[in-house]
Amino acid sequence: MEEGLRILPQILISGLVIGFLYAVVALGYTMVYGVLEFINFAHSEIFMFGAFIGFEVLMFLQKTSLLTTLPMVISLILTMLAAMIFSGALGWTVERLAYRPLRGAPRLVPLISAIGVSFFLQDAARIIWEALRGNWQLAVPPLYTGVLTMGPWQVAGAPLQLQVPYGAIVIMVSGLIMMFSLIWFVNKTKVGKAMRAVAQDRSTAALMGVNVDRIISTTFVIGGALGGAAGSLFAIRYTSITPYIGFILGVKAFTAAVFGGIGNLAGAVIGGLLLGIFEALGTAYLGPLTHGALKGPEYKDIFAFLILILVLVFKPAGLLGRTVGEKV
Amino acid sequence: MKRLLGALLSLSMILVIAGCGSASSNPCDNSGGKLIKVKIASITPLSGGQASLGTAIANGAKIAVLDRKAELEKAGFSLGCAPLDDQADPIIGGNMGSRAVGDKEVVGVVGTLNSGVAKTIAPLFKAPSLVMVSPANTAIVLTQSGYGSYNRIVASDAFQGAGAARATKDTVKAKSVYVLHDKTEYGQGFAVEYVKEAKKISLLVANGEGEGINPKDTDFSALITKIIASKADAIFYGGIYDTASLIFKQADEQGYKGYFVGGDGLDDPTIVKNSGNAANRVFYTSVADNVYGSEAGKSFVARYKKQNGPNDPPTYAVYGYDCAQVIIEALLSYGKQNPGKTPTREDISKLVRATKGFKGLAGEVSFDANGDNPVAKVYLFQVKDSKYPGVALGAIQ
Repeated sequence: MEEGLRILPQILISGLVIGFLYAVVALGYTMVYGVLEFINFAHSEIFMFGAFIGFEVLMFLQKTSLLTTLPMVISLILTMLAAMIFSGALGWTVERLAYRPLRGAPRLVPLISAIGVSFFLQDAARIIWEALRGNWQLAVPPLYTGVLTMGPWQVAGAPLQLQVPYGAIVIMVSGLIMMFSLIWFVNKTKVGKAMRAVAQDRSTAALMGVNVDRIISTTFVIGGALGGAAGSLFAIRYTSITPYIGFILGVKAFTAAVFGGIGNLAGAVIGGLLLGIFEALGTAYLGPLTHGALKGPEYKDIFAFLILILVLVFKPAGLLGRTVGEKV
Repeated sequence: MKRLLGALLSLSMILVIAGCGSASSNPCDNSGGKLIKVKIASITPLSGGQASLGTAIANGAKIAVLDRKAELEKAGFSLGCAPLDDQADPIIGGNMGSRAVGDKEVVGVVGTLNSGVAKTIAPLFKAPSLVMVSPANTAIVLTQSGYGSYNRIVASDAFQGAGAARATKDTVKAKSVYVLHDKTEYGQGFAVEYVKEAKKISLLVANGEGEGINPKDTDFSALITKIIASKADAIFYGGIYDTASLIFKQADEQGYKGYFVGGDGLDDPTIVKNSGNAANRVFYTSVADNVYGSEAGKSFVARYKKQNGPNDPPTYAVYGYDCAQVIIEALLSYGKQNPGKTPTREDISKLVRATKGFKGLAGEVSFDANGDNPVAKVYLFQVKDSKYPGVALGAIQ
């Protein structure tokens, strides 16, 4: 057990990194849900497109050898910016073409439309990059590849050292910046206020002079841009992307959003971070705790989801969610 | 306006799809002439994460068909090929299997790459006795299930897994190893055989019977922390290069200093390209020898590149080539005995099973009563100077 505790800080860092990715993607789900009470399943594919656009920008920078001459942070900002603009535009387009015409329809109809868009985007990426690069499993040019070594410190008579890849630090720092700017935007600006008004009561907001359609479009653009940013960060950290990377991450991020209380921004962040940490803890400690009966890496998802179910049994609205009455 | 947008969108989609469709022309179609029309189909992943291996096999088979076109025409056959894409997915593979059965001109199938896919296809081929020759399937069960028309030219996991374990102890000089697999038919089967042998030769497995991971995951850092804490000298991964390279790379980044060992699933340029600094500590066994050094091998590579572009083929290309050759040999020997007659699938299947001592480019091929190749060998490779293929360290006893 002593040995197990020794790796705990490193395990927590692993969990935080993947947790930040879940959190940023979860924000996209939760924003759309807050405004439209509808789950935008295509969000995971908007994330995936962000990764591919980030890849293309990095390829361009590598070809023009700017990747080695520019300061790394400029390359990072360029990559993220391009991914955010593209994915934001993609979010807007998807809403305009696939959701807005169905706004008056029963709840399930836009949901089916979202699943359709999701498949469409997956195959679109497959076709586009098969044509562009001849393959759709792509190796991303290196950016922020090193590792930050912290320590060693003397802890309980033995050295303790932490290894954090720079890519992981980039994810955590950009994740934090994006979350705080979003929360500031929604709570402190006029558009943010309008967003909250539309979320609370769409028709009354319209009567008060809020342009509901424009606010909904804005929501999709911001959600898409966050997804795109997360996608480009994913590409930089994990350096191998396919059109299918969105699926698992999307499911996990959606779960994180529900766990934190869907519709609640802070909830999505906390849900994402906790889910990431539970998975990491499950990987490391499930085996030793059950004396090898349950193998950590195999059962980590079951472990993480079990905790989620337990929380939802006692707090059905999620950690920070409030039960809202049926909107009239 | 809305309708216009919709129409434009669908139009552009059709254009994109049509544009992709027209690009390829089939270099080995069998139309025209009065000869007996036959085809060799291949079922491998032509798209997706494993496309690199799958395409090499399909292209290798194609080269065999082209190489022997003249000889076959003299014997009365016009041989074509039909590359089918299973996307490394058993369900899609099953559909492709049905397509091969449905195409009456298909007399033999080269494939599959994945044992899991073969498991859904081999039963489909039993009733029509459509012969299948695999260049890569290693799951033990495939030749033990009485599928009749199923054969493979490579050694099974029992042999390869044991060989990899012995190499880990003798060549890599590891005292303990952390065993991972991807929970697939191939990966887990391989790992089970590996652990079995490791116990016999007292190579310590740091995590008991090994652990499965989800091959669709991308972040393995928590797992790697655990591996580093276990102080294992080597990490063994039973699975395919795409996930393997992610694990190896992240392990290296987190400061893991040991070696990486795997099976023929790692035998692909991707393992070098995507593993970063970890690549030079990778050992892999393969049922495919590096044959490109020999004269015949070099000539094969030249023909392959002429047909398929400038990239060096993975070694599996030769195995696809040999599988097709085995089927072609059967066709020729049928043509010799029954000139002018159209062979049934059963005829070809029986002749393929009777193959003895065929000298392929990659090695000798004979089939026993179950369709196994008892003379197949397992080779050990080590990646050096970040180059693929790795340096061959010889056959494993």
